[in-house]
Amino acid sequence: MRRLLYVMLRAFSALDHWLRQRLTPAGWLALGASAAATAAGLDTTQNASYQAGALGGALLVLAWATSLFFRARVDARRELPRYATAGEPFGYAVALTNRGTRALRGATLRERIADPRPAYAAWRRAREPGEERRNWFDRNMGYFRWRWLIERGTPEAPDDTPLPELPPGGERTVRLQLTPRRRGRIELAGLRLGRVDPLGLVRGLVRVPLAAHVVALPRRYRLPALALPGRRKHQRGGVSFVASVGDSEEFLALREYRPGDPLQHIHWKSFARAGRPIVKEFQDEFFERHALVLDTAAPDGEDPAFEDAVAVAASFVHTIDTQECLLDLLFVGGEVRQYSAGRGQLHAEHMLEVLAGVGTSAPAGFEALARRVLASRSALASCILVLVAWDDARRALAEALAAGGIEVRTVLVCAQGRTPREAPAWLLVAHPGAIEPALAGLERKVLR
Amino acid sequence: MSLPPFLAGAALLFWGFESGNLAVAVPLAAALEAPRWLRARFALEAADYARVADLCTIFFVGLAIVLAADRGVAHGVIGAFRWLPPVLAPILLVQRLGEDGRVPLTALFRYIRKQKERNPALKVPQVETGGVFVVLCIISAGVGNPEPRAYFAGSALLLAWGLFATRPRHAPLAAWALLFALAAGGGFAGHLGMAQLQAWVGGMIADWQLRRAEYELARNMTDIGTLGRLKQRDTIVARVYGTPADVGRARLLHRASYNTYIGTTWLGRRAESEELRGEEGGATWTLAPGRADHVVRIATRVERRRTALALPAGATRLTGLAATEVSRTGLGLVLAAVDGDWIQFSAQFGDRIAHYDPPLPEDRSLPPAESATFERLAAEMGLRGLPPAQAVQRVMRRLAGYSYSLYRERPPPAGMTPLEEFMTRTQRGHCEYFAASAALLLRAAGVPTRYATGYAVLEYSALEQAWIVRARHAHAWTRAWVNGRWIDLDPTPPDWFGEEADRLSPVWERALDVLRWASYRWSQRGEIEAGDAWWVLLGVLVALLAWRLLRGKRVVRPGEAARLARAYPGMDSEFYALAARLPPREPGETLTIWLARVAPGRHAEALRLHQRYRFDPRGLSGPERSRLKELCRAAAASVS
Repeated sequence: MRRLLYVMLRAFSALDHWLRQRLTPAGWLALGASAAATAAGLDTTQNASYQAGALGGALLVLAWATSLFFRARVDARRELPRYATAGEPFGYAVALTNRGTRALRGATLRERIADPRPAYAAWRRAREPGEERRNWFDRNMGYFRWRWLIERGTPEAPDDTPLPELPPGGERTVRLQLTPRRRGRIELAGLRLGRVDPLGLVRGLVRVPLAAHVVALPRRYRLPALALPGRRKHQRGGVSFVASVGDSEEFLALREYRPGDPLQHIHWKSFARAGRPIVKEFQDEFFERHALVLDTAAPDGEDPAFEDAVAVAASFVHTIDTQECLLDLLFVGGEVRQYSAGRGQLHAEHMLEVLAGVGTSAPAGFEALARRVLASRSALASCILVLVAWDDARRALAEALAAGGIEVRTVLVCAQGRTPREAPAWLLVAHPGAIEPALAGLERKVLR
Repeated sequence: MSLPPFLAGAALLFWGFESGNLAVAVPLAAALEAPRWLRARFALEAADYARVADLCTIFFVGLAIVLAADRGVAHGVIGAFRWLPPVLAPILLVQRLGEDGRVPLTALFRYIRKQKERNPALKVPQVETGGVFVVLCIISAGVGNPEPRAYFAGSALLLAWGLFATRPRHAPLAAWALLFALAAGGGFAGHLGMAQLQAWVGGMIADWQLRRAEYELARNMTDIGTLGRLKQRDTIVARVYGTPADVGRARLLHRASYNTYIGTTWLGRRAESEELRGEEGGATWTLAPGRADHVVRIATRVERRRTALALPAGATRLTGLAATEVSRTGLGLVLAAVDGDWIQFSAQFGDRIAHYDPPLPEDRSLPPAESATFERLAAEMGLRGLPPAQAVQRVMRRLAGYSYSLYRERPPPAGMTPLEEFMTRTQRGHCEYFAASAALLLRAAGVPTRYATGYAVLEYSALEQAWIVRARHAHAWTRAWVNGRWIDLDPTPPDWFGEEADRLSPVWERALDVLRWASYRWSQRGEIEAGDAWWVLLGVLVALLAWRLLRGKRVVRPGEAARLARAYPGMDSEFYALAARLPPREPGETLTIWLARVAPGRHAEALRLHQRYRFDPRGLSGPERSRLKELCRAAAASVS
């Protein structure tokens, strides 16, 4: 039954897409009018409106048939930015060359997004924000969830962009614009040229395949000037991973292999000579290290509060200067994941790209995350917790970190209705729609 | 998509012409187009538009309710739909009086309004309602309009008007005209085809319904042998009006007779159907020749479009029956094709049942399953060889000793039919047992009989001053051929009606009867007509609402808003006049690149001065300003 529902939703979306691509506003009006007039005039002995329905239907059929004659041979080249920001429009240039023998007049251009329809498993698994408040029928039909899944993966595009007249062999550059609705990867399938039929009802289409992608980074908020503690701490083993293969630290000595040593530290020549594994030992390093912990165990799925939590984390990544320090980003994505920026590690935009793909996790995942953070506390100078829920476990984590001598800044992003009744003074609570004003008080909310 | 001038008014006039409401359409069309000559616009807010849209909705719903109460739900909805253009015209009028010339979508849909309240950041588009209004005018003009005057031509003209104004500029006009002409031809052929298709399908359905009705009425599945208590309904299915003497002779209203008994089902076999011809404009139908000494007026509920009439035995003529077709069968079934929930007619009838077919072989035959039992019973009762009248008396006497019961506790013993058990053991049953047994017993005695069904007229309502017939008054009796004519025999004990009434009529049924009567009276009244006073009152109300809406609103003079929006330095530069005469700029093309493309090497000084006039904070000196003017005028003259 669910499968059948899924197939029907796919078919409905396909039909909707087919119509949306082709019909002009006048075409939609003609389609609606024809359907309504025919329905109202089903009894032809009592009504005459079926005559208008027949006329509207004939106009649409003829317009559609005429639209099939639209032909264009065009080469296209996009100048796409690599990154965009969720909610912010971005423009880019498209150069078109007419390879046909006739001039191209009255055409329009539009971006074609790759099929955004979710797979069956994704549709079944996903939960639309606020879905629990929908009625039984809507929850079981899953139509709104389906629509939500499609919309979040589809950037907002303005109406078709009119193309200037393109003579044979001529080249013109036009600017297109997209606004990502959500962070994440936007897959572009190609371009679509359209031209309205002489009646002005149906658009004839020519598709230009041109696959590309843009990563929409999370939205960022302005943060107050942060004074993170400048305490340098001993980092065991130095920076254990670098951008290129090998280590960039100072070589100290050779020693015998101990379980847990990275394979890349094995000194193969000595291994060959000694007949047992020998590893290189490096100079220990001292530098500042901060942790940014993003709680992904959102109680209401990927709702606006979760999106804002990601945006707050992105704001920290974007703001903290990692020239002289390391910033670790920790979150749960199936398992606990850790990415570090600064000192030859990832750049801020790479971290933002990571955040662009973050999703929610099961509530139980927070325990593992807390264990991981606590395990590395000895190396940390400060920790920023971006939480999406508040309970004893989260409070205990913050207090345990503070007890270890770490400065802890805790930001809870939640809907108004989920504000904790008894929040400690050091907890900064921010609500969707009012994040930036709340973040202004960040420097006062520090747990030491 | 903005509407071309006067199209909305023309569409409203077309609606008025087709629906016969020109008196309403003309002033409204004038009001809709008046803002073209009105210089002022009102600074209306989203809430103002929403208020007008809500009022229109309330008015439409109210109209639909009044019309539905007046004409029934289906006709009421259609009637309300016919009045949609004038009901929705205020929305378009307010749009045209407003500063923006568009209506926010929140005004039209409460759902979006609520979403906007929840999420103020939601972008709500502004829509132009003119196109939808024109379409609604066209559709409403055709709804409930069985005899259009120039509907297709008018619709085509309005659509052509709208499409011509919004046609794409890249297509030649000839292509547009050819395509529209082809579409109009196709639409015309299509609508003729649709009408023919519907006539064909309608004919098929009517035939099927007729066959189905005849088939269903040609068989009667009895409740003989059904276990438990029979369920009965108190719904009123007919009302009979007449003098006590006349109604007294019409105690049994006959619907259908059957001649063959198989299992527990009676069938009407070899009953030829005959179409009757209506007289006096199709209101009078003669069923049979003969004297009609009595008359009763019957109001009967219409169950389906072809309904079987319940008529007194010996009915010869029906008057005041608004039916499109009436047919009758040799077994006395009269089918009428009628509309509405209730129909009324007068039935004239005589004392003799004259117009039914004489006995057929089926009227004499005994079913194999019952034949041994009834032959034996007939022999025991000495019915063989008796004259029919005496046989009838003897059978009636025998059955008079039996008792009436709607309840059956258990199935008959193995090898015994329910009728056999009824005759030989239980001697208890409802009217179907009595009627079937009498019919079969008389057949065993050699008397042709039929099993007749219909209603018993036994309950008089002082409230309605009429005899009312309920669904539970459905009755079965026997029709026997005695001395060359059919006579009705009702072998069921006469106390059956009292027993049923006591058992089945709860106290609250009386209260429901009052509601049924009120509902019936309401359905029989004439249509509500709005008099002149009502129209005047409506006009005053609309004027009052308009005054309330527009009172205190800021009035914006034409061009003022545009001027304020476009007030920028250098807006009066003559360079714009020059630019208008040159080929258009492409999107995103700067003035410099554009000028180099369309007029290479020319107007460079004019452009430089224009750019300075536009963007230099110090502006142009007097001589420079004059130079710009002079250069642009000269250049414009040379271009033209």
